[in-house]
Amino acid sequence: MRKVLEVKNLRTHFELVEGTIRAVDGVSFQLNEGEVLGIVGESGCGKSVTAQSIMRILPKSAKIVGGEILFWNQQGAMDLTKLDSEGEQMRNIRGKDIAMIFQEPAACFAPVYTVGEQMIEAILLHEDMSKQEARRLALKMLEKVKIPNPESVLDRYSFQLSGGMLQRCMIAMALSLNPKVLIADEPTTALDVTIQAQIIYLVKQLQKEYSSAIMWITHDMGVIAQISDRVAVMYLGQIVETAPVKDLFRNPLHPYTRALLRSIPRLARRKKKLEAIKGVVPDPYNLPIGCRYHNRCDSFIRGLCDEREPTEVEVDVAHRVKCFLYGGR
Amino acid sequence: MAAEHKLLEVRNLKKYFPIEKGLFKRVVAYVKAVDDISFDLFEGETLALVGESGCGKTTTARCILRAIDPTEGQILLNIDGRMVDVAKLSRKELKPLRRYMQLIFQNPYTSLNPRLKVKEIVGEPLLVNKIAKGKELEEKVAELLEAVGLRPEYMVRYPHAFSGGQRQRIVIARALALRPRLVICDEPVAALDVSIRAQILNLLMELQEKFKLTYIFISHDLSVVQHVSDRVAVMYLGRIVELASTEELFDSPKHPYTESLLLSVPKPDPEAVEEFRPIEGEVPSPVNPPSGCHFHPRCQYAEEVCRTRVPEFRDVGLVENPHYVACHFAERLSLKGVRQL
Repeated sequence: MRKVLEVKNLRTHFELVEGTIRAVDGVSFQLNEGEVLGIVGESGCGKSVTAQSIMRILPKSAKIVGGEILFWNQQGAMDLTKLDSEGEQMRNIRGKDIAMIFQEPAACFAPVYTVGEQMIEAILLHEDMSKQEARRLALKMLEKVKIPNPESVLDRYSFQLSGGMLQRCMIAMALSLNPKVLIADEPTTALDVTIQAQIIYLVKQLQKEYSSAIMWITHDMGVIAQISDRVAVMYLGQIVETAPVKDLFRNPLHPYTRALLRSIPRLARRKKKLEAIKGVVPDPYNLPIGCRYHNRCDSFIRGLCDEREPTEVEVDVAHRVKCFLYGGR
Repeated sequence: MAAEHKLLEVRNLKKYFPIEKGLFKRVVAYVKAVDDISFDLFEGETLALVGESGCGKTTTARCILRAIDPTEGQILLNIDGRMVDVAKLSRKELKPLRRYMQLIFQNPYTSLNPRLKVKEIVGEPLLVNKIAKGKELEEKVAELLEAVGLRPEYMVRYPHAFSGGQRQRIVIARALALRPRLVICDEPVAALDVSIRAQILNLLMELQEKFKLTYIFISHDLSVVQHVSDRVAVMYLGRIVELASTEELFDSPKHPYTESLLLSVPKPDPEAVEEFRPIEGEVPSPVNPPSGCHFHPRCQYAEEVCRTRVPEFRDVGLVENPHYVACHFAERLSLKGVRQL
């Protein structure tokens, strides 16, 4: 498997009046051709900021303060953190080589242009072709994402389409330039279950054809189980565990992953009380010293977990965890 | 069933919202948000209303609370043995009855007034209803906060100082202040993080026992619903299509829509990837719903009769375990429940 993207020790911080938020703090992972990497975590864990750092679309108050984001294309590897976020090189990569789909499809399409105009614009920005050819490509893509009457949808405005339809249009637009990497940031969270199921199914089918590497961000363990090949679990700006999806569900190692899996209500398993994770996610302005999970952890070791930060240990093939229970001292 | 006493009887409830057009607000059509639904609610139980967005679950709740006026139908509330039709009462007559029914909202970030202290938020219903004031009020608020797992000292703080889960606890404390009989929980955990969700669900179940509450639990999340409820009503485009005990509904659903909902839930189990199959199509517009059975365009079992006749909502279960369903072929189909998945 070829690497297409490698993030090394990425650190993205927000400088605010109230203090510094270390939203992403030492995140490393790689993304291989044709795989789906699921990134799971609760709100504020830094999963979206990681995506925005890769796309270089961070808000003004955020800065990449360290680390590398290596992206491989025909010319070899380049470090995206070194590029000007508004420069030509980054603009060429963004949308063409690395595309992104978002949570709120209705907010991603301008209401004053038709869906077709926006798709064609994106295609013409990166490809040297005529308007007619671009329209044909857009049409072909809408067929690929199984939109009924694609011809008429091209000429419609975003507010005339349902959330599920728009999400399909966004996927069609993102895949129209055959990107190497597709970042999906909670793309099904705003959709109903039956539509969510359709979108997940669709992306799985399309991936076989397009071989793009997908980074799928979600907070839903069910979605993660259904879509990903590998999973990275994030907590407070760090990846605490990475594993192939079956290993992660069969044999979760980090106390946080275990607690997360225990706390979700499951179909066909009715029990009176759920095992909740105690406490709340700590204040991002002052993160706990040592392991960031120690104050909520069941296996907390006094004098160790609250003093030093564990390093990542490879416990099994491709199964890495950041916890003192498995070494890491 | 938890108890035999009926707390609420909803009969043929309808809520149509008019669509107006032009200068004179001519009514051109109606959105049939709730279209002739009936169900009973027994004391001490949790009845879940599930369905996709736009199916009318929240509108049903708002009609029961009389936050909006129903178009037609009866809402009979049991008040100390007397059945009172809430739907027919005037605003003034309704006032003393309001304390019997409370609502827990979805989003604790918008349902708390940022300018009021927790003490004022939780204490307001007690003050307005002249139940307590001064020192006594403070004691009651402290008691309520403790019941929902918050420290009483927190009552002098403003909502912004609390996390989402803690805010939801405040919302719950406020809802319980008047010791209601019926609490409607409208997606109470949808806005919360996974790790906090379990805490709030546990709390709701604890409080139910402690205060003998009856819940109507509105949710789109079937795994949550299965966990908390005794009975489940599945709604589709303004109608209840199936109503049964939780176990019965999840193990042997009788309506094809329920089956497809169960199939659509992504299971947190990577070994079950093959079983995950979506149904086609989207929920049609409630302005112009399909004829006959509303679900027929998406139903893989649909036949001619489904297009022409509205299926009757009828009991196909046993005497001790009723199972209501609105499908022409309920007896004939053998659908998959969660255990077979």
